[in-house]
This record gives sequence, C-alpha cells and structure tokens, in this order.
Amino acid sequence: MSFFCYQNLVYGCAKFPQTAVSFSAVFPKHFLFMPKNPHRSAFSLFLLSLISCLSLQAQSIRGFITGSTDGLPLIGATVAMRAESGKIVGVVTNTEGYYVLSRLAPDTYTFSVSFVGYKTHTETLRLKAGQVVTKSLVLQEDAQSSEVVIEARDERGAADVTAGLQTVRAVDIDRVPVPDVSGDLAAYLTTMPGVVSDGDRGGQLFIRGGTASQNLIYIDNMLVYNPFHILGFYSAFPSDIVNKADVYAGGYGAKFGGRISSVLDIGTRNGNKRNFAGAVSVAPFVTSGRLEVPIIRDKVSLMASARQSVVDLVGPKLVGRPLPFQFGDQFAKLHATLSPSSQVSISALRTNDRGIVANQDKLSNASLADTTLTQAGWGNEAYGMRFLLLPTNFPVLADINLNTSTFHNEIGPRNKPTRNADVRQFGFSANLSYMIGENGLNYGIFLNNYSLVYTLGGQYQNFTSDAEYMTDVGGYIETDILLFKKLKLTPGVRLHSFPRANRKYVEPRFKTIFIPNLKHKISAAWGIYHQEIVGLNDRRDAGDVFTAWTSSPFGKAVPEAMHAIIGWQYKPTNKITCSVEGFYKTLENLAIGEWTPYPRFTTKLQPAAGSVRGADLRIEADLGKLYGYISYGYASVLYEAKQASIPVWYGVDKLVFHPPHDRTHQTNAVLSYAFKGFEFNARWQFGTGLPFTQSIGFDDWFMLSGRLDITQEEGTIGRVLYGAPYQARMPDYHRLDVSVEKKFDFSKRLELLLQAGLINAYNQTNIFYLDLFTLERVDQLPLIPTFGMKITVK
Amino acid sequence: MKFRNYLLMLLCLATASCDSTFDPFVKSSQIFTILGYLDMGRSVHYLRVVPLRSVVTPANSPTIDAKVKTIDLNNGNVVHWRDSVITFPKGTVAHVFYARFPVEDNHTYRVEVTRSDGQTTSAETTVPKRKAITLGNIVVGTFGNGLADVTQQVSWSDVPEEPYDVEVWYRFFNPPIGPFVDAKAPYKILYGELGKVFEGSYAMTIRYSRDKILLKDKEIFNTDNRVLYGVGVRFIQLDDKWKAPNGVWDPDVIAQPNVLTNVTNGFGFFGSVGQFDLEWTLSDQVVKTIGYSTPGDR
Repeated sequence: MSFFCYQNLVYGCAKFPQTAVSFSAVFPKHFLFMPKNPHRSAFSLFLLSLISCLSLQAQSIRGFITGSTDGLPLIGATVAMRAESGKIVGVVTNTEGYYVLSRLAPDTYTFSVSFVGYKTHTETLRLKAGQVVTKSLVLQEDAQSSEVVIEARDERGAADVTAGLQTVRAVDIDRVPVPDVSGDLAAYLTTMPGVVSDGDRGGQLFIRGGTASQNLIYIDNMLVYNPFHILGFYSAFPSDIVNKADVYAGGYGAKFGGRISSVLDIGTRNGNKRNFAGAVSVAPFVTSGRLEVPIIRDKVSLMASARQSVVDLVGPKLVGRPLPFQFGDQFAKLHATLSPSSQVSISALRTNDRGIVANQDKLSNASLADTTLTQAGWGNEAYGMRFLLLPTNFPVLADINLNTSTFHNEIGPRNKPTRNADVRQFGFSANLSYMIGENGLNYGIFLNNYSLVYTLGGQYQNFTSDAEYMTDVGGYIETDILLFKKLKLTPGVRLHSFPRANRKYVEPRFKTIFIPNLKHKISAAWGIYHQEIVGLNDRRDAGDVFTAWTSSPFGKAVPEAMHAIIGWQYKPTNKITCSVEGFYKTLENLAIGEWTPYPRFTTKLQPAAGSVRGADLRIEADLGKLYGYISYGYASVLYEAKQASIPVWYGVDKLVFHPPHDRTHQTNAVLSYAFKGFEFNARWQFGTGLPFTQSIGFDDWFMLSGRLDITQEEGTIGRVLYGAPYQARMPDYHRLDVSVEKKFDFSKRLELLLQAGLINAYNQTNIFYLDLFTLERVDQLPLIPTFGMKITVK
Repeated sequence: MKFRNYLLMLLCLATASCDSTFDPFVKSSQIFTILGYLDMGRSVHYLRVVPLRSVVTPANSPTIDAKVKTIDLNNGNVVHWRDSVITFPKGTVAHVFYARFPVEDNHTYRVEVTRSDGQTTSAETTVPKRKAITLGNIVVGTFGNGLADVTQQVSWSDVPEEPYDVEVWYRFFNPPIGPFVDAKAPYKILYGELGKVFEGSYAMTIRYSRDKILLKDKEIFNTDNRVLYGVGVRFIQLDDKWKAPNGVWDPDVIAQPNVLTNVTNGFGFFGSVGQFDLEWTLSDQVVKTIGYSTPGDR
C-alpha cells in the first residue's frame, strides 16, 4: 500500500465528501460555453477534458462503513481488495465512514473491512467491466478482540499538521482543562501555536495574523459567523458533539473561499442509531445536556445538545466579584441512512451571548439586569440540510448542502443598543468527489445570498444605517495527482463572482505533499484569497467585540491575501511526532479604522496592507498513560497603514506597525496522565505581550482655525493624546490550568465522571485588554476552582 | 521519576512570580494644552488652558493650578493674565485666561503657563510685521448695462501669501443715528478669493460700483442715498506658524496632538493676528460716478 492510500481519503474524498449530480447539472451549458470569454472557454475545455477522462473510468467499489454498537460511522476502518493475481489495494474510511476504490481491473477480489474492536468482514466480489459497486456495511462488534497495532500513519494529533491543516478530534479537545466537565474546541484551538485569542473573554480568535472576521467557520457545512462565546473557554462546539474539526491555518484548498485568513471546518457526530444515549453535566460555569435517540433503529437518529451558562450566578461566589456573562448554545442533528448509497442530515444551531465587557470599575458592581450599562450581545442561528449520495453507475460521492445562517450582534445599553448589525445568509452548494485510481478530482458549485444590515451610533458618532444585498456564485475544481507513490500534487482553482458588484475572482490554489517514508512528511501550500464581505471592527478597542458586516468598503479593491506554507513532519517513533511549519502571507486592501484622538467607535476606514511571517513548532508524545504536547509559535504581523493624514502626523508616507493581535512568541504545553483510575490534565500557556498604543493623557480641545471667540468654544471634551500607534506592548501572558477526573462505571452503559480543577492555578494577573478610550486596564479571570459532575448513558 | 522532575521544573518555572504591571502612559513633560492668540485688532486677548489629565472625564473644577503670563521679548514687558471660569451649557468648565494690553506688530511674545510646582508650558508667537499698503489708480469701466464700473487696485507689498481675511469698509455720513456709519464688506466672504500674490506682493481690486449693489442686495447695508466720506481696507494676517496642514482645516487631522502646535511642554497652539489697515478718500467725481453723494451735496 502506498503512503497515500490513507491520504487519498483524508485529503481527497474526506475533505470533499461530496456528492453526485450530473455534470450538466453542475456546470450548465451557458456556463461552460462562453466563446467570447477566453478564460471561460479555457475552463470549459478543461472541464470537458475531465469529463472525458471520467467517462473512461473502470470498475469501482464504494460505500459507508458503520459500527454495530451505535450505528455511527467508523472512521479509519481499513478497506482492502485483494485480486486473484495477488495485487492488493486499500483505503481507510473518512469521517463519514466513506471509502472508495476505483480503477480496479475486472477480476475476482477478496473484499475485507477491518477495524479495531470489530469483526473483520470478508467476502468475495466479482467485478465486471464497467461495474460500479456500492457496498455499505455494518461491522459487528468483536467482544473477543485484542488490541491491534495499526502501523498506518495516523493523520491526526496535535503535531500532525499538513500544509496548514490540523485535524482535531474530540479526544484531543478533552485533554485541555476548562471550567466544565466536557472539553471545548475553543479551548483546544488556543493551544495551537498560530492561534491568538483575546483571552478568557471576548470570543475572538486570530489565526496566523488574520483577524476574527477573516476566519471562515463551518459546522456541518453551515456557515457560522461567531460561534465563540463571551468567555473564551467556550464555543458552540463542546467535545460531546464534535466528530472532527479541520483547522486550516492557511493555504486551504479551492473548496473554501470568501475569507482570507483561515478555515474551521467542523463535522458533528451522528446520534446513536441503536440505543438511547445521553449525558447531563453540571459545573460552576455551565450546565449541559445531550440526548441521542434512535428514531428508526439503524436508520434514523436524533442528537440534541444544549448548554447554558450559570457563571453569572455561581461565578461571583468563586471569584468574589460579579461575572456578568451569559451564554448558551443548542445544537440538534437528525441523521438518516436512506439507503446503502445515500444519507441525509438536518442540523440546527443556535447560540446566544451577552455580557459586560466594560472597564473593571464598572464590573465591580455590574449586573446584566442593569439595562443602563453597556452590554455586548450576539447570537447565531444556522439551519442546514446535507445530502450524501453515491449515484448508481457513477463513481462519485456527491455532497449537496442547503443552509441558512443569521448573525446578530449589538453593543450598548440593553434594549437600546447604540450599534447593531445583522447578517443573513442563504447558501447552496454541490460538491463532488471522484477517485481515479489513486488520484482524485473534487469540484463543485455554490451560491450564497447575503443580507447585511447595520445601524451604527454612539458618542461622537454620526448615525449611520445601511442595508446591502449580495450574491456570491461560483465553482471550484481541484485534483489530487499522485506521482511515484510518494508525491501528491493538488492544483486547484476557485472562480466566483458577485454579479451585483460586478466583481469576479480567479483564485489559484496549490498543495503538495511528499512522503518519502513513514517517518517524514514534507508539505507545502500556496493560494490566493479574496474577501468581498468584510467584518468591520474597531480594533483600537480590544474589548469591543462588535463587528459590522458589510461589502468591501474600497470598491474593487477588496481584501486579498496570498498564503505560502511549507512544513516538515518527523515521526522518530510511533509515539512521538514533531513538526515545524513556516508560513508567509501578504495582505492587501485591508480596511482598518482610521486613527482619531476622539474616544469613539469609528466607521471611517483607512486602507492598509500587511504581511505575516512566522513558524509553528509542535512536539507530541503519546506514551499510553502519558500524553504530552508542546507547541511554540513565532509570528510577526506587520500592517502598513495608508491613511491620508499619516504624512501630516508622522512625516512618512505610510506607517508600519504591529497590529494589536500580533503575538510574537507563544508557547503551549498540554499534559495528560492516567494514574490509578484518575486522569490528570494540565495546560500551561505563555504569550508575549500584545501591541497597544500608549498615550500621554487626555485633554479638551477645539480646532483653532483662525480668529475664533475663545470664550464660546466648548470643543471636544476628552481628547486622547495618543502616541504613534501600537509602539508599546502589554505584559506577557501566562497561565496554568489543571484538572483531575475520575470515572465510575455503574454498568456497561452508565458512567459517572467527577472532575475538579483550577483555572489560572497560580493566580497570575493577566491583562485582558487596555481600554484605549479610557486607558483603563481590564484583567482576565483570577484563580478559579472548578468542579463538575457528568452522568453519561452510553 | 525523571518525568516527575521535569514536571516539577515546569511548574516552578510557570509559577515564578511575574510582574504584569505596565504603564499605558508615555512618560512626558507635557503639562497643559493651551489654545489662544494675540490680536492686534483687539484690546483683550484670551487663552484656554487645559491641564493634561489621566482620565478621560474632566474634573470640571472651578479652580486650576496654573498661572499665565506673557512676556514681550522685544521690550521685556510682562503681562499677567487672569482666569475666567466659563461653564458651558453641557456642564463643561473651561478656564479661559484673559489680559488687556496692546499687541504690537513684529514683536515676539512668549506665553508661560506655570503650575505651582514650577513646571511650565510655553509658546512663542511673532506678530506679523506691518507691510506697506499702496493704492493704484482709479479705473472707470462700464457694465454691460452701460452703467459705470469703478474699481481701484490695492497692493500689499512683501507678503508671501494671501491674507487670512480682507475687509473693505465704506464710511458714510448718516444723521441722526451718528456722524458716521461704516459698511463693512468682508471681501473673502462676499466675493471669495479676490486677489492674488504676484512677485511677493498681494494685489486685489476694490470694485466700488459692484459693492454698492451687493451690499444692498445682500442686506448688509442699504447704500441708497448715502454720503460717502471715505473708504478703508484691512488686511488680517495670521502669524507664519498658524497654517492648516496641506491648507485644509480638517478637525480629524488637526486633532492629532502633534499637528499644528508650537507649544513646548504641552499641546495646543498659541498664535497671533496682525491687522493692518489704510483709509482714504475718493474724489467727488469718483464718489458721484459710483452713485454716492459727496459731503458737499448736503
């Protein structure tokens, strides 16, 4: 087996677990044949070539593999076909339990499927010329099975990163201590070396120099605008519902677009199709519940999960001061296996957040019930339907999605916010994945419709209100070409346009992976990205999480990025993985807030360009009972501001500075140790200080533009006398979180988990942010003891 | 055991005491923001003094720890200013210092605002120098409707740029209200840019006949049946440091503390205004040609 048998799935089908519609449906004739446009003609010819190529496809076998215990997909099951000639081909299943083997010669094969803990399924299959076989199986549990060592590369783990992509599993998430019994993806993400967070409040992540609004976030292919909760430990993705999360820190392929920093592509678990299952948990910050119902045994299941914060009630007793934060999330997923070759799922997600992110003086007696205080609030709502189909006689996996997503955020007094913004998106996508022997072809089309509405007001602020409607339509194509069994090339291109704005984008992408042996992996990626719909956030005020979504403010000069990544991974043994990855990004046409000495949210924007360079280092050791992971990230983010007044202010044409999310050095260490039935988890994080703008003080001021009557000029009360932007740095950040937990099994299906822990165990005073309007310091959470209990029915 | 040792080392490192304090303020010697100017055309001068503070909200105190004086660096005269507390409708308290003294052209004045600890914010301004104003010949032309168009050029020599403002006044005899009434024509407002700088001199044209019509039409002064005694022109010039960046008075740009400032140990601006005028009489013939009456017509 080549090293890429698994890779084909992970980077081919698994990433594009898409589905089938005919080519004529995907690329209508008017799209294919546009003789007056040479670019489209070339593209059409390219597609025709591919279609011709596909028509030559020989015998294939594909299907879904699930387990008998719960009816859930078996991820990483080995599927092999041994021909009578002795030739063996094989793959492993992806996160949907999907596999495909194509370009098989007509022959009689021994077909086998194996997975740890399950009986190996073996049968003889005769493939006739041109035959496409769909073989979906339920593997039976093997109570007698002993542990099997799988020598194949495990393409997951904290140090396993390939051209910017790291896949996160629920087990990884649970190793990071949070004030909850279940782990949360948000906490795990902040252990990754290229990810900078606001801290334990704010709900924003900055990935490899990008801003929060430049991250593309999907859950079950539904777009989510801000799934991170107001307390930075939490997101809408508790580990209980996460199947896997692909985190593309950059260099992502042609399937993804519309954002210029990163992609977070989250797949959720299906509900148990055999038994009722569920869990309830209580902890000082959140309570949660999960229910899994097999509606039709082995065919239809429902999973529902809900969490609600209690931090505003319990937190003050633990930390001695109000914690005026409320958040919650609800998720439900109905999954149905319609036939061996088709599946459908309907997902729904809701989140809500509200809190006071004001200065600390106000926090000392703050309450969310006080409607006069400035509160930040946001909420997501997303609904989606996903249809997975293996068309008869056509060896394609088709993934068809319909979804709608809304996002509301506001800031100001409750019930009367000074600023609010809403986004409503409706999307359709059809993604197809085709295996041609060991090579793959992924392509698709998409259509998104956006409604953007915002109202901006506030102190010193002219009232602004606007509504925009945008449509984004396009397609992409990407191929996986395997050369010499060791080198994979993935060129691709994404074409999309916003007809109403009369803007079109051609975005080439490229990825390559070279695996000379089981110890080494070298990967690289490159791509061009555009972001037509941008999130405007006044980053001068780090505590202000308000984001107004709007179309690109500089007309045709839309934000654009170029990503370049190169990485090397080394596995000296099966238990240790090391990786290092360097990255470079250029950023153009960014829209950042104009500098102004007036303490206000500004809607005036200035163009900026930037660059990001850095390197991530990861070392992971999995020694059985002991697991450890250390990451180090270096980054340098530089912006060049081009505000017209910069020459007047600073005597230079453009000002080069490090923006407020530029963390130069960042280290994370995660340790997990199982000992006599207890599991200890610890996480220590360190980050150098973030840039901020120092000030000389405040005064009152009016513009002395001539012979004014000085006695009549009240002027601006409260001018901030800023120094040059972001020339100073805040103190370094570091914190230790620890937890210990023990499981008690009352029966095969009933389990009790008790957990205790310390957040910020050595009570480090870490700054959350400096309010640049008032220059007041807001600190992150102090030492917090946590304890929790979770009852699980499996 | 080895692992435990490493763990202990890590914990020791992690729990080492770390200072997380920092100062959001730049260490500086700036004390006050001052905003004001000396005006040759006025006898009382004003200066707003704002002490720099570390909180955004002003104290609105009725007292201020500041003493203000000006020194005429040409003759050493010192004038001490007095504080006046002005409360604006929104409750803002402003400390506007004032002093009554004549300002002389081409003198350099230094203002010092001193705190009780001796820390001083200061600024200097040199009042624009008086330049010669010369009159050109009377030119009588004709409007399209056949009426006479009387104009006269006025030159202001040795000025590099056009003045901040120009006023032309007409002095009328107007009993019973008073012996004389001035009709001021703020030329920049009325007519926009009238003159231009050429070879170091500023030249503009006073259009007597047109002014007579426009002053009435714009309801500035009813010029009907007036007896004209004289005509005057006033050039108003700001000091040479008092200029908008790139010629644009944009508050968002100028609000930046290091823009448009001549203050040492502080912020703001302290300027001066020179006012230079010349008054003359027109011949009876010219006065009548314009359409006014002469004193002899009474």
